[in-house]
Amino acid sequence: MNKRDCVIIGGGSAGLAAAIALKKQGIDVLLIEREDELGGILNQCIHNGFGLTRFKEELTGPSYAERMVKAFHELKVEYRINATITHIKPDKTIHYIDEEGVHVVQAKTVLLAMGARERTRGNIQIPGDRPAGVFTAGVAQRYLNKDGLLVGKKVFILGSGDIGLIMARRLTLVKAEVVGVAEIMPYSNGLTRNLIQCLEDYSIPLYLSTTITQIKGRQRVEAIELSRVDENLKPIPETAFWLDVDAVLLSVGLIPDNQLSMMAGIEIDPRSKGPKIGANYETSIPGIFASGNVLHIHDVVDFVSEEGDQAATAILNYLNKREETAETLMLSTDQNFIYALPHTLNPNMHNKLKYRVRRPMHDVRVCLVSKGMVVHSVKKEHLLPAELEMMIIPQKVLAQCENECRLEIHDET
Amino acid sequence: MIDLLIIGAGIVGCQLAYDLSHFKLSVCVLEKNVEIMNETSSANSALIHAGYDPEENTLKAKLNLIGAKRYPDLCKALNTDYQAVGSLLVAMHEDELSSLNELYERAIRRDVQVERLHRDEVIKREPNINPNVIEALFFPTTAIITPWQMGYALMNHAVLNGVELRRNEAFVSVVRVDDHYCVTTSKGTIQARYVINAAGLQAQSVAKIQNPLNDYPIQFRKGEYQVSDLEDENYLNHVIYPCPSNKGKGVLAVKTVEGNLMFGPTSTVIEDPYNHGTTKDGLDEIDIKIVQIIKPLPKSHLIRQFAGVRPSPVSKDFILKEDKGWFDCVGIDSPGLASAPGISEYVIENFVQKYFILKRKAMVEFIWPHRIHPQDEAKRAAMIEMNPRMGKIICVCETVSEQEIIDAIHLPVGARSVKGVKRLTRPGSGRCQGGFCETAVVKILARELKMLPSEVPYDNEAFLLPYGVEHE
Repeated sequence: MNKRDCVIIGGGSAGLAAAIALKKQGIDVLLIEREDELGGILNQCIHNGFGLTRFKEELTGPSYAERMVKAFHELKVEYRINATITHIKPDKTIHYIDEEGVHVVQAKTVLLAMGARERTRGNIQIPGDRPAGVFTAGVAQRYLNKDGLLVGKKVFILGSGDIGLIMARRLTLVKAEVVGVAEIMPYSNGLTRNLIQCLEDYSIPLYLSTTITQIKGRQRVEAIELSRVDENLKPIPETAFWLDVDAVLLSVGLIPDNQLSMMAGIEIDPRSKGPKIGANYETSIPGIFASGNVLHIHDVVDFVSEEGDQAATAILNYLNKREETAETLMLSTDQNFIYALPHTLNPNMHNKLKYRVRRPMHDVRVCLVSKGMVVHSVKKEHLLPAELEMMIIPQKVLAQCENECRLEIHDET
Repeated sequence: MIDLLIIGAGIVGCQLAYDLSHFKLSVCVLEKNVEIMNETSSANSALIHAGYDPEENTLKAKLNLIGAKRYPDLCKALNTDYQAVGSLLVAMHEDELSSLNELYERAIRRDVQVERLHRDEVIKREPNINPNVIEALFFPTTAIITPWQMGYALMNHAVLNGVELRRNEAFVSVVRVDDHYCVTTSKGTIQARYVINAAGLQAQSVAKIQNPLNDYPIQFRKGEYQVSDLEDENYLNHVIYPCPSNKGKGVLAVKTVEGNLMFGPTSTVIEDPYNHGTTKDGLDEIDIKIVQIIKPLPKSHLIRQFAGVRPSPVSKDFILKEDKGWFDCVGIDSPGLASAPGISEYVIENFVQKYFILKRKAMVEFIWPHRIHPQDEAKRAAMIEMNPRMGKIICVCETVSEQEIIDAIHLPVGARSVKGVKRLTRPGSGRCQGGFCETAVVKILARELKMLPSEVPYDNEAFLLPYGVEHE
């Protein structure tokens, strides 16, 4: 059987970063990508705004990918494209299919870097007809930017996530009319810069606390019904109104794509929808690591690549058997957080916590609490669900904790 | 001049075409949609009911039984899916026991295999049943099939054996000329000695065009469904029926051949037969009713909702009637799929054989080309050796290769649309709902059918615009 020190699943921004870092250390890496090119979703994100942290300049998605892929090829990392993994077993054998056949690889370590998939109409259950013209924003983006095909002339976008906002601008630039964007929450779910640069600059209306309650159209979308929602996100029937459109784009969230992880029996956190991990990105199966959007959904690609780098360091340590003591601290949170990572902290080093809050908050203190005592805290003027937050917990703080600690939001006043 | 024209390529039209293709007859089938099996036949519970349910002395009772008996052989001959998973009809309250008894007696009378199961036995066989169950009937012969695969297999066989299929061509009008019918379609005219109206949702209006006196009372009923992710493939072992009511069989939990679970249908009377949208009320109704028979599944496991419309005869029985060389099949609602082979036999015996002495001819077999099972690595490896495109996976959710899609397009009656590819080979049916594969499917269809991607139909119409075209 083909044996490898590390098999990386997915050639997007996380997988490429990890492959580069590992190969630089002389590790025998095989990267497996199901699409026909490396770079992942970046290849269809032709707008700019990528790379400010990693490359200290503003790049488009394809040029960010190009830099990563160039470094990858310079190191002569081995890879397969058009290769689909059918399953990963807990013993780290990986089965994949490509045009050459069915292959099985025995890996010493595995990095899960499969990214995410988009939530669909079926997931959010929009009632109505099922004609052509309902697309997820990513599919519409791919049609337009990779295949030169436009999904409609009069488009409505549901969800104010970043992909939806970017597509509002992109469609306007190719002379499709974007009738509006609706967001079920009372606040936007996109980055502030995208709200300004993609909607406000083009006078595209944003309907907050509003959702699509019906789609109409026999062969093609003809109209949509919008309704305002109450504080429990339930549509208010009296507020319903119709708009004539020929396409609907859904930007209603990404789901970490963990089908393979689940088949391998890896424990999944129902809140982040990604694998449960330790401070070294290791999942519940020793030797299997995860990074990027398969772990949790990021806002900025630079941090996806950074997680790839960090997972690579952890994989290197694992291969060199430089594992720290098994002693760990369980991390829990109060109800103000959607999720926090990692699930267990390592008291022997500085730990970087990542979290997302459930609703917008102002002037609060994010506190790490152990044995009823606040051991570390950071003041935050603004916290938004749309923005992934990070904080460093110094090692000396964690040294004071025992068994577990908890992330809490305390009022600053 | 042809011998027989069949209007409509739903399950009844496909079955008739298949049965008639065995004889020396010239047969043409008219289908107004791009794909066959596109309406009622594609949006239903996909069940071969055992045959105990229809009222006594009805065509439904008689033809359901014939259909249920014919399906195993038909599916074997065509190599299509047929799984006799069996069904449980569950009583959740004491007051349902009388109707359970009645159905038990009826099943015995009709020689339908049935077994009474006590609560403990039901729970043992079906651990995710609602634990409030008090008793159940077990029907081992209830089977599941893949309706559109069945229809395409029947029609492929028919076309290979000389039947002409005209797709994307609608019936417009008909006049009786001397000893035959002259049918005007959206594309021309067809002269046929005899005509069978199997137009499904349109059968009532087609019948009325032929003879305004043939005004069959029909109600259109919409049935909504929820579909779950493959994750729940092993959640149920059987089809689960509640005790039936006067509104029909109720909301069922159906295990499908492909492994998804389906919950539905609702039953709402509607005016427009093409109003097949789902509704909030309908989906809420499924949510409430399904947990009365099975343990609830997380809502996040639901990947798709759909609705089908069925033409329900007010008389509650199929309407199968001849009018001067013209035969109407009207009001084919549930159990239409299960009864289709019976309906076809009935039409041939009572109509076709009146006018023709049927002579068998030499046949070309048609074998349904199944996609490779996702777990069958040995077969996949062997197929890739012969054709590398068998290893290029387009649909990751369901493990479907480019070659399997190409094969489905190039069948004698193949897929011509995004929906057709989805039905015949599954891309778009999985948890990503086409998110990863739809753009690739469009390109494959365009290349294989020698059209532009902007000309590829989603259902009946093209749905993408070339970028850069000026729009009004």
